[in-house]
Amino acid sequence: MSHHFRENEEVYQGFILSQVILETPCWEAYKLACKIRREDINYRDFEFIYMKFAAGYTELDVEVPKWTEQDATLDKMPDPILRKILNSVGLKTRFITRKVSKHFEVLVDSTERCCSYVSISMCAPQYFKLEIDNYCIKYDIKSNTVTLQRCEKDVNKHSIKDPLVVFLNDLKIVFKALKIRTFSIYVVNGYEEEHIPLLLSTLQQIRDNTKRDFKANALHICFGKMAAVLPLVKMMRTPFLKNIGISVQTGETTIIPEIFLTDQWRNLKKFESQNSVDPSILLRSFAHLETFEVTSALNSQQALQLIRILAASTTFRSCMIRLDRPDMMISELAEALNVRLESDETSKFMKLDDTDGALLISVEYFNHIDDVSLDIKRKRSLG
Amino acid sequence: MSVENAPVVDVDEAAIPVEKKMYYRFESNDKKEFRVSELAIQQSETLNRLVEAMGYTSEDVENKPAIAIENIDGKTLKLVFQWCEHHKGEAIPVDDGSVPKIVEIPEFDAKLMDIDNGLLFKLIWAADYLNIVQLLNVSCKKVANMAQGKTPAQLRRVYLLPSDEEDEAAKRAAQEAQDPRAREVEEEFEERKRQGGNSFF
Repeated sequence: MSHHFRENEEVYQGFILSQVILETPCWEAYKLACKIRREDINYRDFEFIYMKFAAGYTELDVEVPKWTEQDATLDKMPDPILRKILNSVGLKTRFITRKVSKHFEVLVDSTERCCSYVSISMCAPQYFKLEIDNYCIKYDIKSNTVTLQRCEKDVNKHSIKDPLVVFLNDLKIVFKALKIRTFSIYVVNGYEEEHIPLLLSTLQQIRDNTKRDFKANALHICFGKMAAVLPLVKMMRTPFLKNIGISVQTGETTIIPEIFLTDQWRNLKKFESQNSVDPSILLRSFAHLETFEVTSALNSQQALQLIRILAASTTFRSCMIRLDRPDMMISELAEALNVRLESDETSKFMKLDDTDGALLISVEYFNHIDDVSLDIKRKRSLG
Repeated sequence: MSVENAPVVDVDEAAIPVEKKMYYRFESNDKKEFRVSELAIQQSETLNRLVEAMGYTSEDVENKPAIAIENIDGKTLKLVFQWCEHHKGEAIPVDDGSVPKIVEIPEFDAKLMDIDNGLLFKLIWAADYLNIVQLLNVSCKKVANMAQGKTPAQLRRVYLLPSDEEDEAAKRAAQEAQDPRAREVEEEFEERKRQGGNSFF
């Protein structure tokens, strides 16, 4: 068979016709043909014959036109079109395409890819993890393996020598041209002294090489140490970053004033932090945000002042402030605001009317009297 | 759908309502003529602007020569106009780059693009040249889908992409073709190196 298949054009074309009739996809039929002929067949020639049959031609005398310089090929496409194609390929294909040639490597690295969600997790001594939309790359420290998962199903798995080195190298490749909606970074307590500097220097290297800040709409950071937050915030492209969320395990309070001093703050719409915010900063700088969720040691006078500021704000929509020292009593605040105090099964609340709109203010008690949060929402339709 | 069996892009008289529709005549670079409805032309920003600028009446369309599209051959233009006629009246997508774009290939488009790579690339060129946003989106998506699951070597084979070595060789050949003296100079240099000379100059 293989002899005739190789030597006899009619037998060869008959095979292709049969594959068309069997509705074998062109690429699968081509691979089968290469296997039977035990040689690398020119794909363009094979495809031409296949498509001719697919178009309804049935004679086994297809003549493949000679290759000319005028023929359209992918590498002759202008770079904007190639970038458009690269934008449509999946993550795995994107990095495979990178290995085709230096030209494609440069193209892939300079083609911005929009992602809804990117997450970096450093959870030593178990694993490092990189998640991008539906994909998850897990670098297992104990088994020295890397697994690529898509929609939680294993796509690829292989052994690696040093998971940390491979993980950081992969970051350098993946992060070259990403535009991210939500970027999350988790470094668990215990290894942050070692891993946070490595992560920061890797991201800094990428930034230096690409000469571009990272583009992320929302940055969520969960660290053991507050000190590493500011360098990360500063690496983000300023007008792009609209939302910052910080969760750190130590009780440092200096970082939020430092973030205020950066250009990032003016463009932010949302700020969330489980760490304490100084009441004076809260009063001074939070009213321009659309929404925020923080912890603060407000007293009733400061709370009153904040409510007045937020009521006058043209941007404010909602906030939740966990009260560090709930020395303010709801009745005291209601009295100061001169509003009616109402209650339902879970919370007490009051309404504050304002000329620009109305604020709905509620105070929620969680486990006990000391665990109190103040919720303030703009309710324009309130009567 | 085969290209040969594809319906000729022409006015469908039965489908014309009482109000008379406007059509335009276009000619490919291999002198094939097409009649395309005004609504279908709106899918192409380039052609739309062109016909607006020309301000043809129905009589002008019949009496004046067909509008020449010199960069596109008949086979490709036929596919382009088939696509435009099928999608006429549909909204043209705006890509602001703010969200990850998901492009679905409709069944009609998938059949239309069941063609060899050479023709598919010409179609992409044409969509880009004529600025037909959605056709460019779906045709690029088709190429992207074809790349899925292939190794770098397979991608080189399917898309006739040169490896770095081939690329270098081609560049050298092109350079030599431009300057035949370059090869001689290189050989002379190699010879002098062999003879132990430190510097060519």
